[in-house]
Amino acid sequence: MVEEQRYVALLRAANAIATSGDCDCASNALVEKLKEVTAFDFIHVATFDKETNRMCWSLLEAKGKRVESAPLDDLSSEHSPIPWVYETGQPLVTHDWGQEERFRTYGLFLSNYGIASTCTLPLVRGSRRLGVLSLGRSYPNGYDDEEVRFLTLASEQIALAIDAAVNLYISQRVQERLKLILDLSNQVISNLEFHDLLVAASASVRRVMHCDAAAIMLADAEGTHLRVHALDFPESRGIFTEGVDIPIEGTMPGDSFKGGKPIVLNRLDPEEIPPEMYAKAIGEGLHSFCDIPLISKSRMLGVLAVAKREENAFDDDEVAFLIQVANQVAIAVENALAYGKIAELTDRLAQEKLYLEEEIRGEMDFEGIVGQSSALRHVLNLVETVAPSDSTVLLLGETGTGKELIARAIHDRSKRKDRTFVKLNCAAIPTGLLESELFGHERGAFTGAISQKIGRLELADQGSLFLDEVGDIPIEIQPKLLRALQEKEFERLGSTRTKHVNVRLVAATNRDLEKMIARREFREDLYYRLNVFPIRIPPLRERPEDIPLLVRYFTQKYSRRMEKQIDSIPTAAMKQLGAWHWPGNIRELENFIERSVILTHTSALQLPLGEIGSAGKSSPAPGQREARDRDEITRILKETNGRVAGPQGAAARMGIKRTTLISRMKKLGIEPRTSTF
Amino acid sequence: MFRISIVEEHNQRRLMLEGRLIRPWTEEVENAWRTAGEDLQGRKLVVDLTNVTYISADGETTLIKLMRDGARFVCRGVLTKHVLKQLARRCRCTS
Repeated sequence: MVEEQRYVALLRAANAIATSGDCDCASNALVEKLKEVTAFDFIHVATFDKETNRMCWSLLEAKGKRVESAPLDDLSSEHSPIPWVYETGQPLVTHDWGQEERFRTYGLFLSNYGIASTCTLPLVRGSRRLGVLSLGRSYPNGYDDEEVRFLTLASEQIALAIDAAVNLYISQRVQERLKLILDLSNQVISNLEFHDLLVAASASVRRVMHCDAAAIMLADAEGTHLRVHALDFPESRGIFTEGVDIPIEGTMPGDSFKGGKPIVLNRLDPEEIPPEMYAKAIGEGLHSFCDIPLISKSRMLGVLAVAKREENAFDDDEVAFLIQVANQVAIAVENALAYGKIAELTDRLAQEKLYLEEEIRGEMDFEGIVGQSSALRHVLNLVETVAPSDSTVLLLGETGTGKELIARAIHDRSKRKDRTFVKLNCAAIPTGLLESELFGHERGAFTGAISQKIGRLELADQGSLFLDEVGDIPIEIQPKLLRALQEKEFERLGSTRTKHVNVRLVAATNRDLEKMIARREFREDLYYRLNVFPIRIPPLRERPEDIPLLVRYFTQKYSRRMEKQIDSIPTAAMKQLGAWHWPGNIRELENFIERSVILTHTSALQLPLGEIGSAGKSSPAPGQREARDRDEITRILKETNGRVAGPQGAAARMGIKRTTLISRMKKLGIEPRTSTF
Repeated sequence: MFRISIVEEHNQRRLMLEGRLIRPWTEEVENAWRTAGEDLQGRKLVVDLTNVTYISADGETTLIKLMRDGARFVCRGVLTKHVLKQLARRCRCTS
């Protein structure tokens, strides 16, 4: 071969090796291209780990056939020229292996393939030793001085190329592994559904680690078994499956789990592993196993198990990386478990909320607003009209008329019915605490604020807030409430952070807010903000036709509760109840019936009518009652500009029929026109 | 909460309703009534409202349907009795 052509071929060979993507390509390029540089019947290339000086990769080809290099890999420098050349850094030419006294094992191996002479050269890059290249020929004295000089030069070029190929391979592997860590991190963030996460994680590990199978096993609650939650094994023969429980005692994953350390099995030995495991591994054709414990915050969660079909598949480097991977998987599992727990608690809370709301409904019976009078029907019509809107409702009515029942009915017929209905009785909370109760406070906002508290306004977010006795809100809190209603924002006491809420307000009062405004006890702007849709709930005396139904309703309620059988209510008693004006309204009637049921010992309700019969005690004198009725009708007629009928008329406002109002007006001598002045 | 149960007795089959008779249970009551009416073997079919705590407007409509189908009721409590009387009257007026 002309020398120039040899150098060109050498350059081509070096380039082909350097640009090979992986070990197999680099090996093929080395053998193929080197043949264009020099003729050989035998080639042996070995690279060594620079830290451990142990052989990390080797290639052996004799007479054009690739040969298993393992028998030669572990030979010491006494038995093989490869480690000798690596250690000394000197070339070694053996002219005739038949005459060679050293390296007997290696010589025997060569003679089996008919190799007579070899030239073994160190692969060196600068001061760094990479490995050894050995070429051989089938005849003795195959390498003269000139050939050795040329091959020494060639080995320098090949060393450069191999180093570049190795670096490329390492960088690609590092990149792949970093991608795996990134993939796992992404799965931790984006995949909180437990099973999906485990499946995705095991698939990523198997793919990047070039394994045949990867599984994630987690300990059961009893701590006796590891359950295979996810198994990625595309070419499985169905012996290893998902969902099986592996005992912790006496198994390889179990030992790794108990000991908290990785366990590697690089060769199946029936003496070392349980027979069942051996049979399964053989059945699946797997020969190398590595089990890494999943440890998160010193808590043992389970095991990451990987397996390969080839023997000696897991070296220290792979195990070290698998430990890092297992740490990521453990974090993912921990997060998914925490997410599952949170989801379970949220679900349970939602169930409890539903149950409690149903309990409240059952207790309050607000669905069963009892009565068929036109006054009540008018109120219910207004409720039906306003409920679907998000408007603020102001309920006006005497004490005991059922304002809370109406407020709940509004909430239940609104778009917010599935969210919370929060009630706050402004009169029942001490003035100093009302602001905190309404808006909440931060820890340390005032003496005694030992923890953070969420206010009712915040609790009612997306739901409805019922402010009972709104007229009792201290005037100094009113501007803050006004802002919360108008701007839908407020700050907790002791906080500068503005909270935004979406609350539908239903307020109620039995006080005359207009008079309070005149006395400067209630802010006018808040009043107009509350008075968007006023509903006046009629007192019981304005709907006497509902009294018999209410009496039956409460009688049944309390007789059931007290386990008494009451089948009838005396007609005369019922008449007397209907005639009473009930200043305490339905609450008074309910308490009266409860008392009656307690006193009843027969199947007929026994009513202590003497209490209401002694009318003088609480019933106003007829003259007083007339005067009060006259005042009320006159006031409403003034407000309606003397209009009696129609939806804006006084009858509708009072919740009674037009004819009833006209009859009362006649009786009291009221003229609609005069009332307007 | 609402519960429907069927109690088999030698001379009657009792369709026992317990709780609040409101939607959507009203439809269930109608279905249960139809099913309970099968294979009576000469026995009476009675709707037991003893433990019904509340009857909504939808519940009243269901009871009227049952009355028109010939249902017989047993109940306890002055209100339930009154409601049934009213419903019977409405049933007579409209039929």
